[in-house]
Amino acid sequence: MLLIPTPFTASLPSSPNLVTMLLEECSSRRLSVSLALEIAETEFAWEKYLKSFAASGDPAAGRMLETVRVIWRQIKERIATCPVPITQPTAEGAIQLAWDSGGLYLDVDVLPQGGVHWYFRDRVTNEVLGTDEEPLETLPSTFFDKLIKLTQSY
Amino acid sequence: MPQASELGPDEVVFRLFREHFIPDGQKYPNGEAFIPSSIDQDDAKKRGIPVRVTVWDQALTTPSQAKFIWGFNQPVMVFKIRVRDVIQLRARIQRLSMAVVRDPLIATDKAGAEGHCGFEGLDRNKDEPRTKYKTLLDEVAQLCHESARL
Repeated sequence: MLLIPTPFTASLPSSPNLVTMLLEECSSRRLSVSLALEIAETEFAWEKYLKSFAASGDPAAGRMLETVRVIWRQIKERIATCPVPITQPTAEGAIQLAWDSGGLYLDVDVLPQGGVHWYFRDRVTNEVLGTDEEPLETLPSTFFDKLIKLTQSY
Repeated sequence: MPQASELGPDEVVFRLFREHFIPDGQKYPNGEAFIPSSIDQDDAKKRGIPVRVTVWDQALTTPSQAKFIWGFNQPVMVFKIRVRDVIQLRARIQRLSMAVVRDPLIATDKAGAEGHCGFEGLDRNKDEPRTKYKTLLDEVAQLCHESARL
């Protein structure tokens, strides 16, 4: 996981200690500074978007956001440079995270009543996986395997 | 009830999507943009018609007119769909309820109201597995071409 704290992105121009932290992080993970900055900038914008869900004060939104953050931590532990997902509300009131490389598609819906649905499709082979009826408490390892495959295909 | 008039294969419709968080490099839209809303479902029940997702005939309505009629204040993305592609998809996946039909708005005299159309066959059938339904929506999303942001 790229451990760039949010305050870093918010105070980039005038925080030499945080710049040092970033450089150390880049070095340990063999990332270029420009790539690390790009990731940090997008993650910052994403975090800002996520917070807009919580602005309503709806307790379900808060719970969904917490689950989104848990999922994101799980993803970053496996794929340090995973791009932040397309994020949008769904018709059933969930928060959807989605990745689409063209040939491969993967999403997870974090449900307001708790639990998650997920869906994967390989548009070339038409392999389809995911939940059909009952949501899951946690994402299965297959989800992360497919996300690794997808991120490699960008 | 009179049969709704289906658009011809040479016609092109567009759909407006509210912009959400779409990072650079990610392909969009996905199937979520074609799930009928609760308003679409209620409208169908009230009128005794199939559930219709709103699209607009580009020959009769401009995206700006559609945005104004729909009352969107936030930025929207405009995606075009060729009716020919919908007809081909219907045949390929054998979803015979799928059609783009005319559904002009009669309760408003705003410019462009006559171009309102409905995309039928996008609601989830009873007992249809979620993954199968998601694949249908993904197929539809693949027919879209982004044309503008307003």
